[in-house]
This record gives sequence, structure tokens and C-alpha cells, in this order.
Amino acid sequence: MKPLAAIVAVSEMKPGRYPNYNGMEMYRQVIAQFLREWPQLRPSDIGGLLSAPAGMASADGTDVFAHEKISEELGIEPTFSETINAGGGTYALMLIRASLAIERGLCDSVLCLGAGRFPNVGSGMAEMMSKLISHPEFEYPYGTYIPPIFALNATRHMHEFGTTREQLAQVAVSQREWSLLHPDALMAPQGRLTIDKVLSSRPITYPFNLLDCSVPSEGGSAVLVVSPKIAQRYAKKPCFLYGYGEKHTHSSISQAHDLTTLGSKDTSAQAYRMAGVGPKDMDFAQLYDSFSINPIIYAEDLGLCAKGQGGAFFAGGRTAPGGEFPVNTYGGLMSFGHVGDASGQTMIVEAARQIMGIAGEARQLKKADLGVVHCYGGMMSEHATLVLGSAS
Amino acid sequence: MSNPAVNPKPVPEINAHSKPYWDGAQRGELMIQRCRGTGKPFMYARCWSPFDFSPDPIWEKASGLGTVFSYTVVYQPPYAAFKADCPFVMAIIQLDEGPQMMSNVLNCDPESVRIGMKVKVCFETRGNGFKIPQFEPA
Repeated sequence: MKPLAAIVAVSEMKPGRYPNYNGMEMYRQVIAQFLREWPQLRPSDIGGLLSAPAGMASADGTDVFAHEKISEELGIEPTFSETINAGGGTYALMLIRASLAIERGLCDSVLCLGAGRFPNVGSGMAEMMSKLISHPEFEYPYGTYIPPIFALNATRHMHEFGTTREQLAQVAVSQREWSLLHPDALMAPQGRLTIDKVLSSRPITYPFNLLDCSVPSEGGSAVLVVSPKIAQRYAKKPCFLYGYGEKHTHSSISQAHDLTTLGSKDTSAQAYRMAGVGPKDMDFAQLYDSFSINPIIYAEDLGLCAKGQGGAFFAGGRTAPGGEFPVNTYGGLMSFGHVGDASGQTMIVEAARQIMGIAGEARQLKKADLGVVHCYGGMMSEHATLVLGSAS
Repeated sequence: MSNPAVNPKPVPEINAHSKPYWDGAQRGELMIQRCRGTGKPFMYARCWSPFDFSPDPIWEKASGLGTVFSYTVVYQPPYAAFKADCPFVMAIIQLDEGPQMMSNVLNCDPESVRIGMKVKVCFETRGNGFKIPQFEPA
């Protein structure tokens, strides 16, 4: 396997509510923590910089010049830099873009930054969000908002494959187990879940109850990507990128060609092909989980199980700590916390920690040589798969 | 809706290219577009065909018949305007002509809606008498 890029340093804020920080201040907090955790880094170590828009989906406005402001504060003049956005898919795309830039010699390293907010809904924010996440003219008038949009995928999956609400609930239960092993997980203090607890939580939108949904919060993270040639300079055991795939299938959920097989089928096939591996070679997976249906569909599309068997794949705690195949080893968006679009980078941070062997005693996997990360943005619109691993 | 005269639910911001769709709705007609090159129908309103980029797609009246492709019963409203409607159905309708569109399913018990249910277009009157296409059991 040929390494395309290397992750050598990662850091993540504890998810929570940070009402005193605006979008740019969230970035400063992320960076300050990153520099505390990796004190050997200097401005000269950062050749490129990618950020997501600052303050996205917040009342005080979205800043698409975040990258230049951050670079100025860092005291760097990057030769590759932009603010990019594909929702939760942004950060996998950053890794892809960073890899391409490094491969072409635009820079030797790229700092990828995310600082996500998930605003408390009020005073027109819900209407604004609805117009943002669904077609403002042809979907918004029907009361669209995020949970019912994903429920459309879930209902269709149940119809086509007999997936049950108990199987959906099991995803939440297993991820809560993982979150209990993460010191920063937002839902860990709530303790263990049971299928009954999920099924008896408040109905939100059929088939989702409250505990089928991720936890809106705020947070952010940083990932330093460098050329494989210089990776050893920064980390004894870097996390290498071996393959990736990207596809953007739709914007409005009603215009998706399929609700149960998504762009993830193609992006994972491309990522595996590029890496020269297959799903059976994976030691773990991190699968973006805004709602309990998502990891079920992604497990299928990524070839971790057959199409239609995603529900069974999660049954009986198979993906929980101690299970056959670890999924979302930090608790996922559902139990670690959904830090807005930056949740896509949380998954990369966790995958890198597992592969670098720095996930901490409680949840470090015994074998984490190869893992697959799947992120999406929008309403399962923008897909990206990464195959990450240790030195081959 | 406690008082249909002041239906608080949103009305769309109409664009130049999509005006024939909304004009049709005011007449009680569901309009779709057809590609001049391939003859294939599509939704939503576009300035060109997504199949072959041929310009100026033909507007025509759809049959107004369709099937529930997927649905959800919404118990928690997105915002205040939908509070009185809860629980309500949000669904993707597959039109008999092929294209799909978002809709609510009105005039039935929300929990009776199923995938595959046959539906027909109806029109809901919102603020200032503006009509938007909706579906109800056929």
C-alpha cells in the first residue's frame, strides 16, 4: 500500500455549549488547545491551511474568509489555503484536498480545522435552517427539518429490508457503550442505554425517537496532515491515508435517486480500490451517525455487510466494545456529540488516534491497523470515504 | 390549522423560472416540466434539461396521481407555524409520470399512511390565498 498523506497530530475540544464564543473564537479555542497538546509545533510546520466557514448556521453570520484570518493569527503565509464547505463531509474532503496538494508539491503540510456550531433553535433560526437543508422553494413549504428528512431514508429502509425499530435502537445503545470510554463524550454522564429506553423516549418523527437522534452541541478539532516523506519527523506512528473516494449525489432529499443505497457505495469502492484493500481488511469503521439509520446504510454501502443486512450487523452489540467489529469507537455523533459540521472531523480524529495508538487505555483497540471512515454532508448528499492505516 | 384564514405556514419565494409551476398551482393544476431533447419529464423547475441541457423545457399539466415513496409522521414541529398540524406527514411522492416531489399527505389519519399508498394532488391555501400543491389518499 502506498501512503498518500499522513496525519501526525490531532486535537479536539470537548463538545458542549460555548455561548461566549463566536465562530472565529471557536477556531481560536480549537487552535489554542491543539498547540497546547502538540507544543513542539511552530508556524514553519504549517505550509497549508484549510478551514470550514466560521460561525456556520449561527445568527451572527457565516464567515467564508476564515482561512485567511486564521492564517494571519497563526503568523503563517500558506501556499495552499481555502475555506471549503460540504457540511459534515467537509473534513474528509479536506484530507483529500490536502493529500492532492502535498502530492503536487504545493506544500508539505496542511492544517485542517473545524469548529462547528449547532445553534439552539429560536427566532427564525429553524426556518433559516430549513431553507438551508432542503429546497427553499419546493421542500421548505412542507415543514422540512433535519430529523424528518433522515426519517424518510429510515422508513424506506424498513420497507425494503424489514429493518426494525429495535435494530435502529441498537445503534444508539452500542454507541453509548463506546462513549462511556471517552472522557469528553457529552452523553457519557447519562449512563448506559437499553433498547427499551430508546423505544420509550419521546417520539420525534417516525421511526425516530429522541434517542435515535444525535445530540446537537458545539465543538471543533484540528488535524495536521503532512507528506508521508516527513511524517516520522512528527510522529513515531503516523496515521496514513491510503485511499479515498468522493461523490455528490443530490441536494434535496426528494431528488435523491435512491434512499437506501447512497453515494457511499461508490465512494467506498473507489477508496478501497485506491488503497488496494477490501472491506474485510478493515479493523474498525467510523460511520457518520446523525441518526440511528445512517450507520446501518453505511455499513451496507461500505461492504461491511450485505445490502439490507445493516440492521442485523448492529444487532446484539456486535459493534459495541468487545464486539466482533468496532464501529464509532468514541460514541459517534449520537453519544460523543454532534458538533455541527465539524463532527466529520471528530471521526477522523478518532480514527487517527486509534491507528496512532493514542486513543487511551479505555478504548484503544487491540488491532487498529486499517480503518474506514465515512462522512457525509447535507442530507446524505455529499459523500466521502477514507481508508486510513498504520505503516504497511 | 385552527383558522385556515390565517394559515401561518410558509409560502415559497417564487423565482422567474419557476413561476409557471406556482401559477399552475393557483389554477388548481400540478405542473411538471418535460425535456425538449429526450422527452423525459422532471421535477423541480429548471431553466434547462438535466438530461441533455436542452433549453426552455416544456411546461405541462401532470396527472396529479402518485404513490407514497417514503414518509414520516412528524410529532415534533420544526417551528411554531407547524405546531397545530402535528402530528403531520412529510412524504416523498412519486408521480405517475416518474418524477418525485416533497409533500405532506393531508385529509387522512397521519398514522395510516404507508409506502405504496396511492395519492392524488390537492391544494392547500396559505397566507394571502396562495395555494401550494399537496397530496391526499386517492
